[in-house]
Amino acid sequence: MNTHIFQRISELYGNPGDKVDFGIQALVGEFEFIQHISKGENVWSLDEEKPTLYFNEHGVLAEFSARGGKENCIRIIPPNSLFWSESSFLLGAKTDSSMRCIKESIIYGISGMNVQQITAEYGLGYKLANNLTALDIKLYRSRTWDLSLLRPAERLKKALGENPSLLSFITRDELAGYLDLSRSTLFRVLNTWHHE
Amino acid sequence: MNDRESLVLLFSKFSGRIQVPEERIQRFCSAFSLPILAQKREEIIRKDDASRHLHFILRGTIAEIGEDEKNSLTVPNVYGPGDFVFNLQRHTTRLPSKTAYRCMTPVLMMKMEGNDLKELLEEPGFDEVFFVLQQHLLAQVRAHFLNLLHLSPLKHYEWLLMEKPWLVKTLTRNQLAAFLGVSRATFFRLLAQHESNR
Repeated sequence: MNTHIFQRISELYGNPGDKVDFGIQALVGEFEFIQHISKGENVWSLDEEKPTLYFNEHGVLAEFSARGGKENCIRIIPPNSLFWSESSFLLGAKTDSSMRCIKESIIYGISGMNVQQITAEYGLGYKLANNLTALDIKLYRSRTWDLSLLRPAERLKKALGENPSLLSFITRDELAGYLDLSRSTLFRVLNTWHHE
Repeated sequence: MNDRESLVLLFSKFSGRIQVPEERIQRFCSAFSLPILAQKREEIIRKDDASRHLHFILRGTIAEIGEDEKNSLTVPNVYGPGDFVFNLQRHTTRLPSKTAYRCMTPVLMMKMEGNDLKELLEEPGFDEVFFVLQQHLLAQVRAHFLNLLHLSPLKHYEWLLMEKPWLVKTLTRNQLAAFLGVSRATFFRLLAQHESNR
C-alpha cells in the first residue's frame, strides 16, 4: 500500500531529489487506515471538517455537489488514487460536497496538520498544496469543456474516453447528472449506440 | 488607494487562514507592471501560446475563446475586474493554450512577466503566495463549472444578468450561447422565454 501512496505523491512532486524523497517517505509513513467503506457510505458529507488527504485503495468513489435540491456528480475517484475535499483540506473550511463510495474500498488518510508539519520539517513548502490545487483547476476546466459540448453523444463519448469504467459504476441517473443531460436524452444516446 | 494597493488588499483578503506575511504579498504585488491598456479584440494569450504571464484586470472584460473538435465555438470562461488571467492550459498540463484570451472591451490591467513570476516562485516562501493566487483561480473556474452543472441555461442566464451584467453586455449572442453551453437556436428560445417571463 505504501508503495502506491509513495508513487502518487511522488508524481505530484515531479522529479524530486533525496531531500524531497525523505519528506515524501515521512508523509507516506503517517497515512493511517481510516475505514473499510461499503457502497453507499460517505467518506464525508456536507458541512463537515475533514482536513485530510485520503488514499482510495481499490474501490471507486464519487464526489457530489448539491444545490437547490439537485445533486450532481462532480468527479469520479478511481482506484489507487489520492483525493481530498478542496474546501476542507486545502482551505481549512467545512466540506462543501459529499464523497460517496460507489464500489467498496479501503480508505487511508493523513491529517492536514501532519502534512503541514512534515512539509515544513523537510522544507517542501507549498508544492503539494499547489499541485493539488492545479489538479483541481485542471479537472474543473476539463468538466467545463465537457458541459460545453452541444451534442449529448459527444459529451458521453468524451466522459467515457476519460473514465471508461463510468458506465459500470454509477447509475444512469448519476451519469445523467454528471453530464448535465436529462435521463431521457442519456437513454436515447445509449440506445442509439446500442443499435449501431 | 492606488491599483497596486487594491491588489495587495485583495491578496490579503484571500490569504485568509494561510496568513502569508504582509511584506511577501507586498513584494509579489510590486512585481506587477503599472496599469496598461489593451485594445478591444487584442489577444493577451494566443492559441498555442506557452507564455506564463500573469494579468490582473482592473477594468474591462476578457473572454477565453476556443473551438471544440467539431469546430463549434466554446467559451470556457470570462474574466472581469478583480480577476486574474493566466494561461491555465499551460499551467495545469504544461501544454500550449488551446484557447485564446481575447479582450472584449478595452482592458485596463496590470501584468507580471512570466520570467519575473518564475524567479519569484524560486524564492523561499513565495509558493505560499502562489497558493493564495491559485485559490482565486480555482474559485473562478469552479464557480462557472458549478453554474453550468446546477443551473438550467435560463436560470444561468438570469443569474448572469443579476450578478455579472457586464458579461452579458460584452459578449456576442454566439459567445453567450457557447458560455451557457447551448446552441445559438436554444439561446434565442431562451431569450424569448426570458422576455415572456418578464
